[in-house]
Amino acid sequence: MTGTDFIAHSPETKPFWDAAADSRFVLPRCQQCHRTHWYPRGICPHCLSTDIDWQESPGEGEIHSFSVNRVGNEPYVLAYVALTEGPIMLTNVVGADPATLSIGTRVKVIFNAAASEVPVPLFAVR
Amino acid sequence: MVRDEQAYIVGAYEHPTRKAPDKSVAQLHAECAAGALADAGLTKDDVDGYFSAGDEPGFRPVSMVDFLNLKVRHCDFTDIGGSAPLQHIAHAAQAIAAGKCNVALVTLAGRPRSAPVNFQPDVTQPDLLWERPLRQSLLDIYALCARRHMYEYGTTSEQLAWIKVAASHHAQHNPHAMLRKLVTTEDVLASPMVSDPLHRLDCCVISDGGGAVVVTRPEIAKSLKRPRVKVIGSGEGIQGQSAGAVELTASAARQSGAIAFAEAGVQPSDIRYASIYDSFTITVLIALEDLGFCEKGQGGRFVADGNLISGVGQLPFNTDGGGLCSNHPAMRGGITKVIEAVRQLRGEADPAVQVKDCALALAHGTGWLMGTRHSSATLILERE
Repeated sequence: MTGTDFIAHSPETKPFWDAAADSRFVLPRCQQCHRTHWYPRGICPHCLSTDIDWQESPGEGEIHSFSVNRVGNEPYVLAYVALTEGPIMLTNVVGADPATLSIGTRVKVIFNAAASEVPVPLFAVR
Repeated sequence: MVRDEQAYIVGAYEHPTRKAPDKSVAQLHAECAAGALADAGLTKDDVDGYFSAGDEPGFRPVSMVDFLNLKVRHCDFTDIGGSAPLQHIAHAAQAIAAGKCNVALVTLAGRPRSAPVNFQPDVTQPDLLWERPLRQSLLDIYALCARRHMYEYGTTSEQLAWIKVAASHHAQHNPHAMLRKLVTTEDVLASPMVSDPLHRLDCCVISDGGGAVVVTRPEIAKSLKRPRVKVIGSGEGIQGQSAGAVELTASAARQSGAIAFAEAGVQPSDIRYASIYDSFTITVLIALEDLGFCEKGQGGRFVADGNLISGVGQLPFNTDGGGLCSNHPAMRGGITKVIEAVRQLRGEADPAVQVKDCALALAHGTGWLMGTRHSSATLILERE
């Protein structure tokens, strides 16, 4: 089961993946209630409007929580990142020694397909 | 509603196996059903309601009802995860009150230890698109809750370890428990860090097995010989990522517990014994706070120094050893939570862990993943 299979079953989120393929991070924002949400949908989870716009974002935020998986040979970091725009999103923080991370560490989005064949938004320390 | 209408748990059975290489999942469900019906003093022909939660094979309740050769007029296989059997008992009580059935059978069984589950994700599940392409495991997601709780409230790994220690104190008296060795907080902290900040001993066991419960109406319950356990309150809830307003240190137990306590007309301080779903130590700690056994953020202090150990602390919990030490059949601990609460209320727990004069108990379940999306279901049970 691959990310591509999931994307194929989620046609409403194509604008996100198209932007991501171009290394641009966009956030779904409702044109009716003007609120942003995560994870992305084609219908606003605040008001159920389908009038969704995809807003360019610098993809900056800070670590809200993180865990360091040490079961395998190579530790990895799963994290929630609180974006400057508000939503808190699940992601991996990559490229940093886990010992240097803490809640509040400032991070920025990178698109790295290393974990997957799709341009999933990951984060690196700013 | 439940309190007024009054339904009773009259049969409960936990399969003694923890490893069942020679039994099918359907066979385990059926053996649990037979055990619970025998415990109640009823037969399969008395059953007219069947409840199961997605761990049963094939066409779910349709396959199992056929396998068991039941004649039912009501069934429900609402699958809210590991907490489902607690919800099913509440739904059974509601169905009985509504006249939809008289004798409801709830079963759960699985063999993830003998036949590791090859979980095939559903590509149409909308949230998985934002989760599966990441490097992640369910363990990591619970660890996110633990880290945030430590950050917000100063909770420590040692405090979490006390939850495992308490479970091990109880498991040493359970001959069926997978882990019967008494452990200390030092043992937990010295176990490998699997997903920092959770250690290996912060995690539950993986076991084969199952359990079943029989719920019925007052007239039938009173005709049976077993001690009666009344369902006096129930509540449920679902909490997700809230469109991005993620809450990692509180669960849907805030809602399920508040509804159940209000319905029962009792307070957390009235509860003599609590079964709390324990997939991980942090699952217990957050639920205890949300259910009102202590203030939010005080869970670490509440569980420390043996406060959950029967005969030692204020709130004896999971006196069978729980999922942390005894059994987590089908990777879903809901049914065993109810079964141990029934044992306590009947006075049939192991003498070493039996709570004296245990008249009021709580059983609580957390289904799927606290930290991303989960369900909570709470029952308050009274000995009559």
